[in-house]
Amino acid sequence: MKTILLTFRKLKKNKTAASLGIAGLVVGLVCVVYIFFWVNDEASYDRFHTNIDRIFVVHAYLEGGTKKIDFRGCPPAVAPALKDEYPEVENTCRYLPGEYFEHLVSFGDKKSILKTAYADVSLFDIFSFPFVYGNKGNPDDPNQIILTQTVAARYFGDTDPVGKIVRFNNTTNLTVAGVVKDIPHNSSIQFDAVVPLQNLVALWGRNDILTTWYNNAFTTFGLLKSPAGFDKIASTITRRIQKEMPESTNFLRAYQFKNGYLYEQNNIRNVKIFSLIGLMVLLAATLNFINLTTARSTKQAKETGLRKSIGATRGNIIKLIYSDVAIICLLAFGAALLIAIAGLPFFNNLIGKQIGLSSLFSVAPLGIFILIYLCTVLLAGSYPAFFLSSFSVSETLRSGFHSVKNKGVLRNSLVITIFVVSIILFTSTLIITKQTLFLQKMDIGFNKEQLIYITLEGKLKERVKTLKEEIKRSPEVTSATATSFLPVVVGNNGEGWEWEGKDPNFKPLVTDWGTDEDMVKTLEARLIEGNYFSNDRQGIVINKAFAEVIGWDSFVGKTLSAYGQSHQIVGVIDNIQYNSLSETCRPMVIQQVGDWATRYLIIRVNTNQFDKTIKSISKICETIEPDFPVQYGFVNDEFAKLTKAEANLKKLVSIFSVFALIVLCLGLLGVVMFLTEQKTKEIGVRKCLGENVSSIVVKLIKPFVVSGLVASAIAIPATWYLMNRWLQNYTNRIDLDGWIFLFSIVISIAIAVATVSWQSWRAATRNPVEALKYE
Amino acid sequence: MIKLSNIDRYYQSKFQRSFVLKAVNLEIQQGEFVSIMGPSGAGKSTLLNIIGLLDEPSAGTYTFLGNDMLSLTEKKKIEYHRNAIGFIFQAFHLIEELTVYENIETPLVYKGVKSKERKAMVADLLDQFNMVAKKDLFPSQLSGGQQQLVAIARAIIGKPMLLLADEPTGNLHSDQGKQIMELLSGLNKEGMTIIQVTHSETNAMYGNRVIRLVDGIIREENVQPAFFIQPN
Ligand SMILES: Nc1ncnc2c1ncn2[C@@H]1O[C@H](COP(=O)(O)OP(=O)(O)O)[C@@H](O)[C@H]1O
Ligand SMILES: [Mg+2]
Repeated sequence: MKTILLTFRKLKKNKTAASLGIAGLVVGLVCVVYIFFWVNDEASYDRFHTNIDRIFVVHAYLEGGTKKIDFRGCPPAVAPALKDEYPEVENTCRYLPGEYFEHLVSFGDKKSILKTAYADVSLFDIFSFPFVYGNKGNPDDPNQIILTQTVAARYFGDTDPVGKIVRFNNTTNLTVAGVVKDIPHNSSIQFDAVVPLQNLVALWGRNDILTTWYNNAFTTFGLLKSPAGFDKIASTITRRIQKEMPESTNFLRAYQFKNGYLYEQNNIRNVKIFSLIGLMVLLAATLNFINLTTARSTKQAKETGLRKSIGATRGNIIKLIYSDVAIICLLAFGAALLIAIAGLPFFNNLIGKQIGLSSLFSVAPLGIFILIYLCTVLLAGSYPAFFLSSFSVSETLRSGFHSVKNKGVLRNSLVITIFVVSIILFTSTLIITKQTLFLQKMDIGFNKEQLIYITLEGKLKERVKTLKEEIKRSPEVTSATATSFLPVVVGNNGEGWEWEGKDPNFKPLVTDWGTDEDMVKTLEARLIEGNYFSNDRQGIVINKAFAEVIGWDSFVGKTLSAYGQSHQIVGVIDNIQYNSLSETCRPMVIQQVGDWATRYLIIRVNTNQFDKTIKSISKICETIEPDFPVQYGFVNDEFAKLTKAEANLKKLVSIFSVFALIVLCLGLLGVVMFLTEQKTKEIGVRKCLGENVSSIVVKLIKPFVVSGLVASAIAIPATWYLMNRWLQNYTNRIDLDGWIFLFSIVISIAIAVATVSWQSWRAATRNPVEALKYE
Repeated sequence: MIKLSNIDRYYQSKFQRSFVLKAVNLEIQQGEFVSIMGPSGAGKSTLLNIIGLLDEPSAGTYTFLGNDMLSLTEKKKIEYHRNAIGFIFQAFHLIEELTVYENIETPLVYKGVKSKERKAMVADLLDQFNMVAKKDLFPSQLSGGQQQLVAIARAIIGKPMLLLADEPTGNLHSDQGKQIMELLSGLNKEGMTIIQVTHSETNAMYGNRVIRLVDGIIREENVQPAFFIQPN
């Protein structure tokens, strides 16, 4: 109690230095708290499933061809085989993600497009999606649907909807079997509704769809009786497909579901990056705090000496220093936590997460937070504790005593460290921004601006030609093309392509894209050889990447074959970058899209007044298909999703580097205030001797510039190393050039100089008489 | 009570030793009031600090009440600081964040005296020094003389047998200085051994003996019974 009082009195006494130090600490901690929120959220992915330790995932991968390619899922026959053949497996489930299927679900006049997952209903036995109403229903009945709570409320309000019948896709009637609680945002399984897997038979029109040993579309989950069973499955599953189809090049691999989000999808990379940033900012803020608290160390050392002379033990002194620091840190932590919580909605908004506070108030996060607190106290307290007791008592009590002389080096190294952290973060921000912009502005082989797309359902699909003609009639529409996939995400591939002279063991994975004859015109894609196919010019078009794989000199007129059918090449198209921007483009074959495969109509418009155009397009759609609400979007937005990870990283790193720069500025401000105060007398004398103001200011600023330069010498190689490692994830990437480093150094030092200039100038222009009167 | 023999104190720099004290022999009896005088830099504070266990001589022997003081453990030293030796300084060295009351109380806290007892002891001293009304003020709110009074109160609250005062009136006006000197003289009469450093001949007269230190060597000692030349 007494110590708290004492600490507060001290704070009051050293208002500026203390408040700058604490402000820096608070800013740093807010940053750390956000990083902690974020990392905690990432680490909490999927952890809410009670069976998390017993769930595993099986997926296929492709060996042969140019490189190993992973699929998200594996053939549908794998799941039942697992359950039959491994006594360790309690249950299995095949799952097609809700993100892939958007279906119209209507109840009376209430209509909604729902992200619908197709799954074995064992999904609800394996995973923890608790039911609010009903249950998973009858496993053998395909005509049922399970909804999430919010979605169910859209149709049925607060009432129990179990047994109600909804219309699905405008084709089938399904009975509501149950309603589950809304899915937490930190779940990698997301859906609005689940329908039994058997419904795929109707959707895809094939009877064997659920029993083949090929088709890697099915995400396959298994539940083990005990976690220990995993190793056996992982080590024996690899060649299971070959038992049925010896010629298959698809192999199987199992991983634990709990590792899926972080490790399989490599989200751990950003977790590592941000943990590192968090540590660096915390370090900078703590050093800054130490620096500013020891600015008053002359007085503190005297006090320590005095306390010793009246009988304090070393233990007493150390306890005093630590409790002092602990109280201040507690204040700073409290303030940081409050600020962070207050700003959480803003932060969530910025990074597109829904981090709630509830996730924080459990044992592990609180434990880690307390640990961070203790580390900070230890770090911030140890230096003064060690430093202050390094003086002999008699020395501190002499009248001319100054603790500062031997502190210059130390203060400089603290300032330099803070500088280093700021420069690393700032430069990284610039590099990440540059890389993100590079990806976003990269030549992707077509013009993605001013492209609207409509998802085709029901009669829109059947009568796509009429729809296209109608739409093209409006003056804002330049052109339109029907396609199987949007050019940014093409999800169909196979390895069946053969050509003359091909090594029979070489089985490249080739993506299949279907479009009509207007694709090149609509997307403004570029042909590099031949022509695009049309009604009177039947054949296929391959992309440049595939052409390079084949390696001929010319392609037009030659043929490729797939599954016994031969196809004539009519043209070669420049690469359209799809699926991922970070890798080089993969081989692709473009064919005339079949009616059943047509899913999108992409429309080029010549205006940016999208509202009006969309209204008129919607009207046309509604007259053709009144039962489905119109689903439209922008190709541009879909494209932006490809760089979402980078864009998020960019946002986060820029926020954190701003935090670091603020810490730096606060720190420098504190140091310069302290220095000018110390040098008041010297400055006065110099002025009396006729030195002019600018020369004095330059003398005061110079050490900061030197610190900045020394810090740069450390920060550049560190940043270069870190960023180079990061950039290694990208085949399409920028080069690290000197300019970006130079720019960031100049800016950092300029900010530093700006921060210290005003104080220095004020000190230098003070009336010398006043200055000499001091003391 | 105090016996210093052949005390040297030097600082070793790269190429040479510079002596601050050289072959100092000094004996002080219990109940004495000794004044150390000499030019600035003569080594007065150093001598005082050695006696007060805040500094250690480079050579020589030092006994206090017959005990060797140069082989003390850190723990023993703290015991002496808590129970036997009190300090006052030219610059007062009060703890700025503590009130008058708390400053005086601090040594008792370190000594482990119970809160109730502490209260009584501090109250007693405050009363004796006429500072009851000021007990909740901070040092910065007091005049120099008042601050030094607090420092003395703090130095003697542990009832030390030896009080070391390094230019206790150096920062004070002469009438404030006089007040302090009279207080010290009073304490001496009650039996406390006092060693003070002073530049003022007048103040030196309060003591019974003057030691003149020049360049680390004792040049002159004269004994003068305090009652003999009591200034007025
Ligand atoms: N740490 C030190 N290193 C070197 N010389 C010192 C140190 N401390 C004190 N001195 C020197 O010791 C001499 C005596 O100091 P001091 O005892 O304070 O003198 P006084 O109190 O008589 O003015 C001075 O010349 C001073 O420069
Ligand atoms: Mg002195």
